[in-house]
Amino acid sequence: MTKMVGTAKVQPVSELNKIEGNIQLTKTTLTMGWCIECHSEKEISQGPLDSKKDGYYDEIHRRLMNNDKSLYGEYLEDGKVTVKELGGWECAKCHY
Amino acid sequence: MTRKYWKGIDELTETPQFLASRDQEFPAQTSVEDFLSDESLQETSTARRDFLKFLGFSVAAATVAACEAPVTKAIPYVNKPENVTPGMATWYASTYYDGNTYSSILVKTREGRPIYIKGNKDYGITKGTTNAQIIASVLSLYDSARLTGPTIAGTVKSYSDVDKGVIGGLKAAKEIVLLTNTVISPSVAGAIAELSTAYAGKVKHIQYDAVSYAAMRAANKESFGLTVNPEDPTSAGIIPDYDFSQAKTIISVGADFLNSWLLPTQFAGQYASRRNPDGEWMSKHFQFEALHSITGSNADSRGMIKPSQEANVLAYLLKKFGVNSGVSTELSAANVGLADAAYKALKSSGANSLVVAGSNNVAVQLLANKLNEVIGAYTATINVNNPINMFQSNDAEMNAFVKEVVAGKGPDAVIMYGVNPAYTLPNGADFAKGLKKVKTTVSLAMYADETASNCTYVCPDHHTLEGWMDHNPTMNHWSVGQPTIRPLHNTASVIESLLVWAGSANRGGRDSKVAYDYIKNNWEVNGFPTQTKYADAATYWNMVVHNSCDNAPAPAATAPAFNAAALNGLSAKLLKSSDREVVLYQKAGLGIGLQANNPWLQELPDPMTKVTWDNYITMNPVEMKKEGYATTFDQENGLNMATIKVGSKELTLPVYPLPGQAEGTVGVALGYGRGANGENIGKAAFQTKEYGGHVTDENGNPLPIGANAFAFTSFENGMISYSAACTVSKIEGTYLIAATQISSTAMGRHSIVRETTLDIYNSRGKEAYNRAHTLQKLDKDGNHVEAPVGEFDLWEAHPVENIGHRWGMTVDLSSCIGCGACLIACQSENNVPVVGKTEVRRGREMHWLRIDRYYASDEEASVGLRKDKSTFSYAKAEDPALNPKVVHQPMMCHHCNHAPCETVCPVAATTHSNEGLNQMAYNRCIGTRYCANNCPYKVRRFNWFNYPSYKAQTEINPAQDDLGRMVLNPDVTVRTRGVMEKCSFCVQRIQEGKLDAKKEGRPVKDGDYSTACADACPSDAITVGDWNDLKSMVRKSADDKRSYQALEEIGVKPNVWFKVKVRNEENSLLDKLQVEKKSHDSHSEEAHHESKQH
Repeated sequence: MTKMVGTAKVQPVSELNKIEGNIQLTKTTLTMGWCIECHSEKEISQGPLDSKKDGYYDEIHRRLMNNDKSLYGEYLEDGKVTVKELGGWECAKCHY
Repeated sequence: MTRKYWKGIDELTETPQFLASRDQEFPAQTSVEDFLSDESLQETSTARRDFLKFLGFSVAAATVAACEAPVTKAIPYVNKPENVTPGMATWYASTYYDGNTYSSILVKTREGRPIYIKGNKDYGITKGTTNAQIIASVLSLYDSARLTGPTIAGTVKSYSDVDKGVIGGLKAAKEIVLLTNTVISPSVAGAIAELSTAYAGKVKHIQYDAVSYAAMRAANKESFGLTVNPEDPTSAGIIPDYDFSQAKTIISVGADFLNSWLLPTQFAGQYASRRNPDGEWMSKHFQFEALHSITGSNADSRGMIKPSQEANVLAYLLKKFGVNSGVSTELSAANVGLADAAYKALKSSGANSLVVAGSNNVAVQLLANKLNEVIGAYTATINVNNPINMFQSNDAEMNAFVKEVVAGKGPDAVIMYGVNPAYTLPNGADFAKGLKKVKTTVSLAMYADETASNCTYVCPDHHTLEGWMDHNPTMNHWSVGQPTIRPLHNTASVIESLLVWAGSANRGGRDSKVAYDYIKNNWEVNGFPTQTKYADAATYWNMVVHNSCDNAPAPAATAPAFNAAALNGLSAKLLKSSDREVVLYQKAGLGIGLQANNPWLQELPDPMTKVTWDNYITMNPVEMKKEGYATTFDQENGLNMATIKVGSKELTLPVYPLPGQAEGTVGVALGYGRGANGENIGKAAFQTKEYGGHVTDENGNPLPIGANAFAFTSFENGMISYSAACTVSKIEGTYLIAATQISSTAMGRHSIVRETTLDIYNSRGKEAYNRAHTLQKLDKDGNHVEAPVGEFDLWEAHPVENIGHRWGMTVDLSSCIGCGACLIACQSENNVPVVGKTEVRRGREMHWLRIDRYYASDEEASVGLRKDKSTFSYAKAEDPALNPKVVHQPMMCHHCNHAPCETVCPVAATTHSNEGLNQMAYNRCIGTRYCANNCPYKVRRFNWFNYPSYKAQTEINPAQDDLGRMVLNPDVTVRTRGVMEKCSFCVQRIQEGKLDAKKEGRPVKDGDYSTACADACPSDAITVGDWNDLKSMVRKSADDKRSYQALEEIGVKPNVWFKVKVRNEENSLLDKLQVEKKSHDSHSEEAHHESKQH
C-alpha cells in the first residue's frame, strides 16, 4: 500500500508559487479541481431570480418554482443557487 | 470481523525491504540508455541467468518506456487566421457530386479540417437530404492512398513534365477521346469546349456512367420527342424531374428511388413528407420488384416479380386503362391482386400519381411513360420542362469505343475523368489491356485505380472538399462547390488541367486560382445576367457561394403528346424470361464502389441484410431451404458458397437469405471487388486478416472484398443491362459472414415495434393500436385497479421531469426509411471506431446507433403482433414470411430515467445527469461490462481493443493513420481499450446549444440542439430537444397519440419515444386484432398466455 500523505486538494497558484524551484505562475492552473471548486461556489444568482424576465436562468428557475419548490428551497438554503446545484459537477458537463 | 490478507511473506513479516518499497510506488529504474551503454557488459560473456536478467529488464524498461507521453505535433499560431477560432467550428455551404449522387451540403470544419458533412436544409434541390455515402466522403478526403501529385508511368513527376508529355501526345494524336462521367458542371463543360477548340476536330467527348439511365433518355425521346437540345432532334432524350411529394399513389417497378434510383437525395425527402399519417394526406406506395430493396421495404404493398416481368406489370396496368401495348400481361395470382389494387389507387388519385421503373430497358421505360401519360402524371408529378441533367451516359457510343480499344484500334489519345471503366465494364480487364496500346493515356483520377494504373499520365483531381466546382443538376438549378481545406496534396482541379492542355491557362501551383477564376468568370458572365435579384456581379457571386446555389423559377409542367408508334414491337426488345434471373443493385453503403476504401461505408450494415464488409448472392430463404442452402449462420458457422454464372462469366459468393426476394431471382450488389489486381486504392478496400494485415494471393497482392458484379452487366438492345439470366450452383465450402443482426423477426413481441393501418389510425382510438401497458394496483379503497406502468417505482425518481432540462428524442417509425445515413453521421460525429469484419462477426461492432430491421412472420398480423395467441408458435415465428412486411427501427441509448445500467456499475462510471442524460465517464470505467449485461436495449458497446492502435485494425481504422486521424472530432474523446461507450445524445452539442442560449440570455429553444442522427435523417424521423419545454417539438411529438416507449412494461422510463408505424394498406387481420377493448382483459390474457408458453 502506498502511504497516504493527506487529502488531495486543489493547490491555488499562490501556494504553488511558494514552493522553491517552481516556475512562478501568473494564471490559474486550469486543473479539473480548479473547475469544480469554482463550480461549487459560483452562484447563478444572488437569491431568487425574477421570474418575469426571459433569460436562460429565468426559465430554469421558473421550472423549479413551478414544479418542485422544495428542491428550489434546498438550493436556496445558503442564499444562492450555485452551478453545482444545477448539475455543474456532473461528468458529462465537461467530459464527452 | 475484519480479515487481513497478505500479498506475500514479505508483507507478513514486514521486512525492511518491503517497507521501503511499499512507500515508493514507482521505483527508480536504470534508464534503457544507461543500461545498454554500460561498456563492461559487452566484455562479459553472458550466462543463462544474465540473459534472463536482461530479458526481465527489457520487459520492465519497455513498460516504463510505454508510459511516455506520445509525441504531439502542435504548432501555435503566430498570426491567427481569419475565420479560424480554436474550438469553434466553421461551416461552409458546398455541393457534393461524384457522378452517382448529388446533394447540397454543409461542411463543418474545425481548425481548418473538414470533419463532418450534413445536408443543407435551407438551399438546394435536395433540401437537407444526403445519404451515407455523402456523409462518409469526409473520411475519403483523408485516405492516404490518394495520389499526392501527377505521375508518369507510376512515378511522381512535376506538372511541367506531365503537361509537356500530355500536350505532346494530344498534338500528335489524330483522334482524342475524352471519356468522362456525366458532366453537369457548366465550367468543366466550358473547359472541355476550350480543349475541343484547341485540338479542332480531333476531340470526341463520350459520357459514360457506371450505372446508366440511357434507356430513360431514349424512351423520352421516342415517346415525346423530348431531347436535351430541343433544336437538335439527334441529341439524347431528357430525363424529366419527378416530384414524389405530389404523388398520392406511387407505383415503382424495380426502382429503388429511396436509395439509388436517379436522384434519391431529392426523392427521399419528398416521399417522406407524404408518409406522415397526420399530414394532409398520406401517399399509397406499391412496389413490384425482384430484390427486396430499401424502397420496397417501405412500400405499403409489395409484389415479387422477376426482372423479366417488369414489363408485364406495366402492360397489365395499361390494359386495365384500356391500352393494348402488345406486351404479355401474364402475372401470378398474387401480383394480379396487387396490380388490381394499384389500378384502383391510380384511378382514384388520377394525375396525382406517379409510375417509375428502374430498368435500363427502353421498352420498359416506354411502357412506364405511356402509363404516366394515361393517368395524366405529366401535368402534376412529372415535369418534362425541368429535366434532370445527371446521367447522360451514352451506352451505344461507349460500347463502340470499348470495342475499338479492346481490339487495339482505339484512338491515339484518351483522357479519362470521373470514370473507372477497367472496373465498371463487363470486360474491364480487356479494356485495361487495350488501353496499353493507346499511345497517350491520361487519367484525372484521385487514385491509381484499376484504370488510372494503366494510364501513362495521371493528373489527380482534387477531392470534392478541396476544390472549386459548379453544377447544373436540373435545368433550373445551379450550384457551387467550394473548398473547405487547402488541397492536402499536389493535386490540380480538372478544370485547370483541361485548360492547361488546351493552352488557355498556366498551372497555378498549390494555391492555384485558375479553376476559381474560371468558374467565377463563368458565373459572372453567364449566370449574373440571367437573374434580377442582385444588382452587381460581385454581390451575386458572393451570395451564390454563401448559399451554394441559385435557381431560376421552375417552369410549369405541361403534358407532352405521346407518339403512339413508340409502342410498336416492344415485346421483342424485352428481357427474355428464364428460370433464374439476377438483379444487380447498389447498396446504401458502397453504391457503385467509388468509396470502396472507406471503412465507414464498408462497415455500414446493409439496411436489409445487416451484413458488413461483403457482397453476396441474395436469395429467398424459402427457396434456399428447398435447394439445400443453410439459412442461418452465426459467429463460427458460415453460409454456403455458390457459383453464379451469367453467360460465360462466373463469380463465387456466399448465398445470403433475403426474405422477400422473388423466387427464381437472386441479387448481387455492385461496388465490390475493387482493386482486384492489388491497385493501391486504399487499405480498407481489401480483406484483412484476423490479427491484422491483408489477406493476400500467391503474388502477395491483397485480396479485394467481395466480387465485382459489373462483370454481369451486358450490352442488350442498345443499353447496358443490369439484370440477366443466370444459373446458381451450390459448391463445397462455407463462408463466414459478419452481420450485425442475425435474427429476422420480432418473435411476436408487441412491445418493441408497433404498427397499424391508416384506416385503423384514422377511425379508432389510441387504445386500438397503441395501448399503454398497465399493471394492477390497490387504490385507496383496497380495490384492484389498472394503473399505467409509470406509476410503479422501486426507488426515487431522478428529479428531471419538469425541472431544468430533460433531453428527449422521438423516432417516427412511419417516416424512417432505414437508409443508414444516421448511423454514418453518428460515426463521424462521435469518433466511433471501425473494428473490422472479424470483430463484427463476434458481435463487437461499435456503432452507437444501430438500425434494427424486423420482418413479419406468418405467425404475425404485422411485425410483432401475433395473429392468433392460441396457436402462436415461437418456432414458426422465427422464420420471416415469403414476402414479409418490414420495419426499420433505429436503436440507440434510451437514457432511461430508471437506468438499469447505472445501478450495477461498481465504480459509478455511468451516472444520471439532472438533465435526464445517462452519462459515461470513460476515465472511471473499469470495464466490468455489468452495464451492458443489464441494458434491456443492448446499446452499450465495449472497447475490446485499443482500436486506434491495435494491429488488427491498422488497415481499417482511420485513427491509425496520420492523415486519417484528421477526421476525428476534437469535441469527442477517442475511447481506449477496456471501457464501455454508448450514445451520449451528442452531449457535446447539448452543451454547445446551452452555451449559445446562455450567451444570448434566452431559454434554449428548438434548433439550438440537434443530434448528428437527427441532422442526417432525410425523412425527419428523428426529433430531439428539451422535453421539459412545453412548446418544444419533441414534447409535442412525445405526447402524440402514436408515441410509445419500447419495452415500456419493464419500467425503465426512457427518454426515447417511438411512434407507431402507419401503413397505408388493407390488413384484415390487423382490422380484427386492433380494436378498442378494455386494456384490463387483453393484458391479463396476454400475460396469462405468455406464462403458459414458457
